[in-house]
This record gives sequence, structure tokens and C-alpha cells, in this order.
Amino acid sequence: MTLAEPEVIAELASPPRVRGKRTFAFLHPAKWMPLVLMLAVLGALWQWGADRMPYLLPPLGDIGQTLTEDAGYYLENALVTLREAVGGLAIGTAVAFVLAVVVSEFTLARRAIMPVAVILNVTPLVAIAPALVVAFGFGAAPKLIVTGLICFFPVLINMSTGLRAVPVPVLQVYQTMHASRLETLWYIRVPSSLPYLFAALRIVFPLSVVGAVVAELSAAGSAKGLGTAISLASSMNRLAAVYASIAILAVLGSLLLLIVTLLERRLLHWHETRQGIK
Amino acid sequence: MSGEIRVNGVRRVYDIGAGGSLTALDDVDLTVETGTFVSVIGPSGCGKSTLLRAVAGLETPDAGRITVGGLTPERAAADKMLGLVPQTPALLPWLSVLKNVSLPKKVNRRKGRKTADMVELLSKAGLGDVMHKLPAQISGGMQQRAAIVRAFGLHPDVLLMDEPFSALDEFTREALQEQLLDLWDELKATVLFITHSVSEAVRLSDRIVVMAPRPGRITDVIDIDLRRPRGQALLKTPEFHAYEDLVRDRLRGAFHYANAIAS
Repeated sequence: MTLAEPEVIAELASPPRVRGKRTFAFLHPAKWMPLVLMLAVLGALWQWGADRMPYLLPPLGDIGQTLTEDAGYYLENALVTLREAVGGLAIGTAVAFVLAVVVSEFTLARRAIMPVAVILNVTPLVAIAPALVVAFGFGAAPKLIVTGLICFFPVLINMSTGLRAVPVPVLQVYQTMHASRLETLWYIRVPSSLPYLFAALRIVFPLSVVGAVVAELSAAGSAKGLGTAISLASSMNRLAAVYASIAILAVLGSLLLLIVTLLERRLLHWHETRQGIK
Repeated sequence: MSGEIRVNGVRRVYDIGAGGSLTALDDVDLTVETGTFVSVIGPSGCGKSTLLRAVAGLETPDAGRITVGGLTPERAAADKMLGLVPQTPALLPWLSVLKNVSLPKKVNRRKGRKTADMVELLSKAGLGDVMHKLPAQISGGMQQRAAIVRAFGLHPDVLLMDEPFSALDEFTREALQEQLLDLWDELKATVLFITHSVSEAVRLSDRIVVMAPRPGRITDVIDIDLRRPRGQALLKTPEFHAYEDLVRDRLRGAFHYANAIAS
């Protein structure tokens, strides 16, 4: 046992990691200053352009005005779009997760399912959306389907890769204990696929808003949602209202990205991409 | 319970494409008695790892018979009689050291073997202070020690080790050899140990099996009659060196044979 000591000494010699101080690190000017400056420059450019070409860019003041005056209207429509986005996201991710497990466990299922998934993925969703509206009407169904479809593929591909990316020696260790397929899946394959899942979720969370808006635009004029609001406002040449909706969509997308990033930080603290960031 | 390994006339041929084939194991016979420590040493491609995988039930021989404690390797695995320590630690990066070494208890639970107190076993292996850390937060030597503790935790009848120390520096390696012998002394298991290192084989083993490649087969079996425990001091004795020289000579024979066939 005494021979293990050099390692212990090396461990003690390295300084302990500082943790507490990092909590408020984002308050440091070096963290937020660059972004604030960038936004100020972009805002100034926008105003400069809006003053010269009011038919191309509405002044920021006008956008702010419509946002505050019709706050209720925008909030209502934003919630509709958000509900569609999150609903489709949940459905698409759940179906993809289950299929990824099936596909990674059964070779025959993989040969049947993957080509169909690829075909579905390469078909432009913008083209499918109107057909779904014809089939399912102006309700929530076509929006959930389009959003689900757009979220489905990245999750399926990444998960089916992640579930199979377990190092061979790990599998051999548990094979010699006769771990069942289900145990291997639950204790080993699913946790080790989480980094792959989150790589997909980081794409798919913000993308779900795109899916919802595309579906709304195809069924314009008959239902609520920010996509509908955009197509209504643009048909009436109300540029400020169009950009107000666009701004809200950008915020929604960023919020979803923030959520997935926080989730990832909690669940993947062990992963090598997070080691050292702590 | 018996942990005897019997290998009778085992043959394993790999298809290497274009109609070619590679005989990894050719008519191999080997008996490892219960509770003995046997090392297998030999040049690359002599089939020593294939032999270990076959005993572990990870590979099926094309001919011949393997039994572990009288059972087929698959049955022995199902009864949780085997412990495998691969070349890499193969720890799960999201679990703490303690949870990593405790996971074997959770899988294949129908075979409720009496298991060791993992906290105690980790402390014994010098990992008491780091058992709540993640594998990435500890050194390579500590990770490999955790892998050994994981294998010992189920009190396996047979421990199969595939060059477990080959990625470590000399100093860590010797420390780990000593700890392995301590644990083995206490928990008693039949050990089949694959290695590239002559001094490692001499220090650890009751018997050394020398293998040669093309086709992979056993060329020599050398008994090591050195007293135990084999502490650090033993490494400097003339008896130890004599055994090292003997094994090295026999190995050279295996190498020469391989080269003669190759040219």
C-alpha cells in the first residue's frame, strides 16, 4: 500500500479547484461588455438604415411601440407558437428516442427504418406543410406534425450513433458478468449516448420554433400563432408588426437554447467537453 | 467452488479475407488449477489475447473444449464466476469510482453472489479518498486499480486480466503488482494474466506459459518456485533474475521461430 503514496502526494500538490467565485463570473464586464457593444453597433446601423429606407427597415421605436401597445396580442400568439413548438419537439424527440433504441438493438429494424427516415429528412418540410394542412385542417395537428418531423431526424441519427458508441472493453467487462441486453441498454448504452442526444437537442430545441412557424405560414389567416401574425401583418404592409413578431421568435429560440444548455450542464457535468469548464 | 480452467485442443482460425486465414490458436492445451496465478507471455500475434477472450466466453473456439470450474465459459459468466480486467480501465465516466465498482452487483442480479464491501475494498486498494470522484478526476494508475477492485468485488472464482498494466509507467506498474498480489492473497481466485513483461510475469505467477505465433500455440510452461509474499525486495535477488533470464531465453526461442516462419 505504501507504494501508492507518490500518486496521493501528486494529488495533494495540485491546487484545489476554485468553485465558489465562478457563480457570479458573468457579472464581470469582460463577459458582457463585448455583446452589449455589438448590440449597440447593430442597433445604430439599423436606425441609420431605417432613417434612409423606411420601406425596408422599420425604426426600432416603431417596433417597440407596437410591442407595448399590442402586448396582449403578441403574448397570446407567442404562447400558441411556443406550445406548438414544444409539443412537436416532445413528440419528435420521444419517437426518435424510441426508434433509435429499436434501430441500434435490431439490425433488421435498422435496415428497414433508416432509409425511410433519410428520405423523410431530405424531403423539404416547407413542401410537406401545405399538404398536411389540406389533410389535417387548420388546427394544431399539422403544426405538431411538421415540428415533430423537423426535430425527429437529428435526434434519431445522434442517438442511434450514441447508443452504439460504447467502447468494446466496457461491453466485454459486463458481458462476462452476463449483463442482460436490457441492463446493458439501461446502465451503459443510454447514459453514454447522452452527450450525443444533447448535441442533437441543442440543434432541435431552437429548430422547433422554425417548424411551428413554417406550419403556421402554410395555414395562414385562419389560426393564431406568430407565423400567422407575420403573414397577416405583411399582407397589410405593417413592417413594424412583422419585425415585432420576428423579434419575439428570436427570443423564443434563444430561451429554448438556454433551457437545453442549462439541462446539459446539469446532466453532462461528467462529460469530457465539460471537464475543465467547471 | 472450483475455479479450474481447462483448455483442451482449442483451435481458433480467423478469416482475414481474400481466402486467407490466420490461425490464432492451434490445438492449445492448458490447465490452470484452482487458486493458482498463471501468466501467459509471448510476442504479438501469438494468440494470448484470443485465448483469454475464449476463456471469458467472448469468443467461440472453432474446435476443442474450454471449461471453467467444470462449466462452459458462457455458463460460468451466467453464474458470475468470472471477473475481467481489460487493458483499459473501461470505467463508466458518469459514475463515481464507488458507483463504478458497485455496478456489477446490480447487473445479472438473479445470481446473488455474496459480494465484498466495496467501500472497504476500495480503501484497501488505496482509493478510499477518491471513491466519490469521477474516473476522469483520478490518475491512470488509480483508474486501473478501480478496474481491478470492480473485478474482485464479485469474489469471482476466475480472474481474467488482459495486459492490465501495459499502459502505465514502470513505477505505478510495480506498485499495482504489489496491490494485486495483496488482494489476490486475501480474496483467492484463479488468475489468468496476459502480459508482455517478463519481470511482471515472474513476480506475479506460479506458472508462466510461453506462446509463439503463426500458428498461435504454447511452446513452454515454466514453474516459478519463489516464496510469497513477493515484495519489492524480491526484484533484486539472484533467484528472481535467474527466472527472468530463463523466461527471456524461452521467449527468444518463440521469437526466432516466428521470424523463421515469416521469412
